[in-house]
Amino acid sequence: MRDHGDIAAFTEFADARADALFRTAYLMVGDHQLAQDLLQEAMVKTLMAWPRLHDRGNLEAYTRRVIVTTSISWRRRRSFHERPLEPLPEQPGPDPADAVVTHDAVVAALRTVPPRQRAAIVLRYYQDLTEQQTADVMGCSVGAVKSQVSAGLRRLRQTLGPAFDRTTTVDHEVRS
Amino acid sequence: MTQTLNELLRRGADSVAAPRLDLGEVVAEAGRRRRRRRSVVIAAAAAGVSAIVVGSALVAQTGSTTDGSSPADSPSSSAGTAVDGPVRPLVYAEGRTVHVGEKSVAADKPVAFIAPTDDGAVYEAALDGTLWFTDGTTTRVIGTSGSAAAPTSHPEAVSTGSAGSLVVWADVVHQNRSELVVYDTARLDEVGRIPFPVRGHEALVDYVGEDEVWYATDDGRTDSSIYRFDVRSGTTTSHPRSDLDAVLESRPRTFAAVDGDGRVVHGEPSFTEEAGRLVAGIHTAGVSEDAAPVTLADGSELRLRLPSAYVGPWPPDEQPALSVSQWLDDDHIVLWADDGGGDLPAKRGDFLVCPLPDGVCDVTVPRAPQPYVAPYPS
Repeated sequence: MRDHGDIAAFTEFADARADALFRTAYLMVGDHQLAQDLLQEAMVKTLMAWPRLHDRGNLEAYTRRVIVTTSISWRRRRSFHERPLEPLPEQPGPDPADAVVTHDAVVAALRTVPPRQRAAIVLRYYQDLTEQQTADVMGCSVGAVKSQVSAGLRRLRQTLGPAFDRTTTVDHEVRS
Repeated sequence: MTQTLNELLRRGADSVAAPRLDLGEVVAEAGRRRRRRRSVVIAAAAAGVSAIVVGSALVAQTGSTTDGSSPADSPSSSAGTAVDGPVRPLVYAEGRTVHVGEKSVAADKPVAFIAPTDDGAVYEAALDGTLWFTDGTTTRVIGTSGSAAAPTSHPEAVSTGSAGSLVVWADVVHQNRSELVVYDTARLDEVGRIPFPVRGHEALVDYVGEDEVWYATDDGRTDSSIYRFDVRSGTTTSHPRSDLDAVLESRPRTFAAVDGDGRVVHGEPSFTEEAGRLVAGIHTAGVSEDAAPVTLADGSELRLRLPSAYVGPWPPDEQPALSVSQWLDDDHIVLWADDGGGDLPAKRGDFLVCPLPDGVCDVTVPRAPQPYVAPYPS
């Protein structure tokens, strides 16, 4: 970096937003160490792009987009970056009728969802972005977001079983 | 009890402790990557390349100068200061005139093929396989390509990189024996010859770097092995294709997208237009444009825009015939907008310089009655 002022401003941004961005990274990759690596990489890319990021009010959105695109790239470059995942937690209770879906189970199940579908779910249901905002982050059409969300939720249901629909409300879902 | 998916995700995300971010390492790593990028700039500046200004200055065409005379002295290899503006000259041909940034020289015959390096342009005038190099002031023959096929095949027969000074082409040295020739336009000298690994088969150049050449053969092998020629040591080694992917991933002048099988693919994007915004896609097997945003090496998305009120040379009601022609530096590419028709190398069209990753392109060389020959990335 040429400008110490830039580094100071970047440091201030990183200190303030690193925790929130880490959580997005964690949901994107489902692994603590990998999420840490992903956040570190996204911050490096953000710092490199700093001179051309004129809208300083939009820094977090930029870094979040880097997290999403980088994680998709990482997950798809299995030979280089993907690490063996920890085993999924055991399925809930012996009687599926009484089972309740826990947040641990949802995060674990999210790992079984393909990367772009996972990104669409995280952006729509964790970040609460609109379909248009999600499309902007992912660089695709609104129609593609809808289909990715729909397919991702279908995969979650398959993984989590009937308990998912019985105990979980999916806001603004459009069933396909 | 029911809960929303938002609540579940939020609790899941909150359940992990955020680690302390090593900001010192972030700043250091960004600095290392910037230095790697800047080293390309320094090398080009030291090679005597005129820094050019993006804008109408590039349109200026000086008169023809010496043809066939000896070139300027070899460039110094000492490092200079970093240059902020574009460092590669925009090159193209117009009939017999070869343009290298603000300079131009006359070729013997109408140019049929042209490719940029950090130092100028490699071109072919007559389709006899003779390859020329010009720095915009002088010209010289640098070799002979074994390929003297149809004009449209020549961009595949001669390869240059998006950065650096290397030119690679295939030369027939004896009957049934061919070699890849590696020429350095900064040193003005041949720097390597690579015998084809399998006699009688073609070598396909995959990537030309600043000091390396990656190539494959059409020998029917199914293990996806490719070869890397190291210019400094003169050695060739065999690698899995994933090694080349790793090299491309680390280079700033690279476009990437994700294919339908989840693999990252590198290549040159093509574009469609939506209300002045250019939607980029890399069209290889399995890549859906809708699902595959094109990204640059730093992870940012390629989202260029055409100048307001720009009317391209392509036919009305058709998608734009736009392609990446050349890189000027890590932050600027040149798009070639042509009329979309014909197999001849010369077409009518405009050159637009675009700031990456999401700037508004500027028509730097507008179309003229005479068609242009544009470089295409190898």
